[in-house]
Amino acid sequence: MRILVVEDEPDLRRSLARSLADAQFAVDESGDGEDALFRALEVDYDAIVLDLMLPLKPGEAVLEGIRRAGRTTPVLLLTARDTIADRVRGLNHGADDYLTKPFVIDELIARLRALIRRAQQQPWPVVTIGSLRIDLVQRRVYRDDVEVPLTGREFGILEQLVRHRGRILTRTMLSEHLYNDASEVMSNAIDVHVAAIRRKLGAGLIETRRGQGYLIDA
Amino acid sequence: MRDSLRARLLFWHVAAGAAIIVTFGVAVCLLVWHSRLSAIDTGLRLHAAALDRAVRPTDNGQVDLILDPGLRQVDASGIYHFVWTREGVLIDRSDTDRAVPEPGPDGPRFAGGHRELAATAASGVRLLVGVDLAPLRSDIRALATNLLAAGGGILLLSVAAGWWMLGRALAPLGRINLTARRMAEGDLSARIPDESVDSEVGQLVTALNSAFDRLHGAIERQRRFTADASHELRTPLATLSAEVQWALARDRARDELRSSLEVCGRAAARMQAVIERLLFLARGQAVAAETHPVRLDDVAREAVDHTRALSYASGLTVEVDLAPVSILANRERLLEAVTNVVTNALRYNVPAGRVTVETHLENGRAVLRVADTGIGIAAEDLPHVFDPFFRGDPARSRDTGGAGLGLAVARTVAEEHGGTIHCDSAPGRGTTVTMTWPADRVVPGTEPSRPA
Repeated sequence: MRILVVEDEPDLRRSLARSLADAQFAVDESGDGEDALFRALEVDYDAIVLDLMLPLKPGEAVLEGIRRAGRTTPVLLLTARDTIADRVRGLNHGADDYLTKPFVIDELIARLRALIRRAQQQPWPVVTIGSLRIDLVQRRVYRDDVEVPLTGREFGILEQLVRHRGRILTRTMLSEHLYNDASEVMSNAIDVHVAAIRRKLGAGLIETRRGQGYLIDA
Repeated sequence: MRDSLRARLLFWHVAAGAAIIVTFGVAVCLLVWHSRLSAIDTGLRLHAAALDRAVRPTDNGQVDLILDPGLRQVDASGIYHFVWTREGVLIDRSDTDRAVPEPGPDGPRFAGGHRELAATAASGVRLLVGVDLAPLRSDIRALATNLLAAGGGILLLSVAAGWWMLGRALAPLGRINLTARRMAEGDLSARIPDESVDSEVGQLVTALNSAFDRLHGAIERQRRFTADASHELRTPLATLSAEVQWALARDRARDELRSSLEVCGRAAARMQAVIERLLFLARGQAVAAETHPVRLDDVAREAVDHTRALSYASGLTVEVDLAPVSILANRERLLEAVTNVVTNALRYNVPAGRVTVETHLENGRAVLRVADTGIGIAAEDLPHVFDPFFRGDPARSRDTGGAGLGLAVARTVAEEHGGTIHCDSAPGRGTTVTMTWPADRVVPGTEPSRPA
């Protein structure tokens, strides 16, 4: 899942990005409001972590720009302002959640996952398909209660397909949610990962639509 | 408390009223008594004179008493009489219930509830005229009773009126009490409703309300300052905490941990800088009281030296025009203030820009001026540049450093040394910050002022 982290303090931004990457998110970073709005409209992020006090364009304006463009991307405000009035204003500007600095990384990650689940209308983080049980929080897959080890990328692809069950996802869509801007992606990377997943979980799970992409049937 | 004050006031009010009424009543009764008594005495004297004329000594040394029939009876005025010979033989008396008294010495007297007058007529005949005082006594009693009733009535009325008026007069105290209690409970916007501005209580209410306003303002400023301060500390604290959480989440390589610690170190230094500035602002007056003559031009030169690294790095030119000026100041705090102003001028400048620092005397006042060719400050931000934590342009990102406390510190220092600080700016053209100290802070003995 791909996340945009907008924070003007470089140390905090990098630290956040590293922790989110550890949690298997693909993370892009942005240090000012204008760049943040440009990226948010350019890429279909799964969620955005947004600081309010930003150079060039305040966080509220970024949020408003995203919503004005019709984007429903979940936005979590991460800010030092902690009065009730600040929270209310943030949420009224179209934010989905609010966390004050300093924060606990685990809580931030849990909230981001919850926001993404809610946005994709999947309230329960455990999905069962046939004999497979996929835990989207623990990021583990079980067949008949026996864990099948997947790599981070493999799980990322499986997660996208599960979250959009019944929809065809193109290779571009898959890689957009899987890699950040900094990643150098081989053109057949997605195909290689899908092949690996099929090897581990069985060939019937993921269908190929030639010339279009992949899907898991509903 | 209000009711006890009301009762106490009313008590004294009533006590004074009662004392006045009683004194007045007693005085009236005494006056009436005396005037009636003197009328009685006059009557008695007339009666005695009539008797005196009726006594005729005879040739044989006896006396005749030839009385009008009207004198023999007790008349309408109730005056009776007794007549004795020189030897004390009662020779005549009116028809009265009065037991025969002793004639006694001449003159008026009170005897057995009667007013009597004894006299000696020709040839030693003793006369005594008198009147029963019972009617006068009962008149006085009736008068006293009436006065008491009227006085009591007046007193009752005044109690009622006094209670009501005191209640009205003291009602604002209740409102003041209520408002003060609301303030104490934390509702700082509470104010006393003032409807009677002209009265003393009205003036008190106005004074209290304006005191409440100032208190509210001070607490509000304090609150905002604390909120801003905590806000300034939160970001580096978040960095520190996030970095530590990342480092501890799993085993990290040596160089990863090293860079992590560097991030933590930077965050800690940032927090330290904010805290030091806050303490600097908070310590204020106490330290500023220790003043010595300080060369303003030396302080400016040192401030320019301190910021040399910054001016080199940004490729800026710093020009100085320093005339020797001494003022009474705390050197350390003054240096901090001037350094902040110069740092700001360097930080918010344009590439290859210029900063001018000058000191001189102007009409006896000490002036330090720092001008830059920088990005300037928008007119609407100008009134706020000296507020703690104010950062004008959002484009002045954190990357340029500073917690927004530099100019707040400069103002605090300028003012605690009896001076002022002023900022002129035009966006795109530059900013000029002028610190001025009045003549009484200037220490004479340095070079004379240059022509203005």
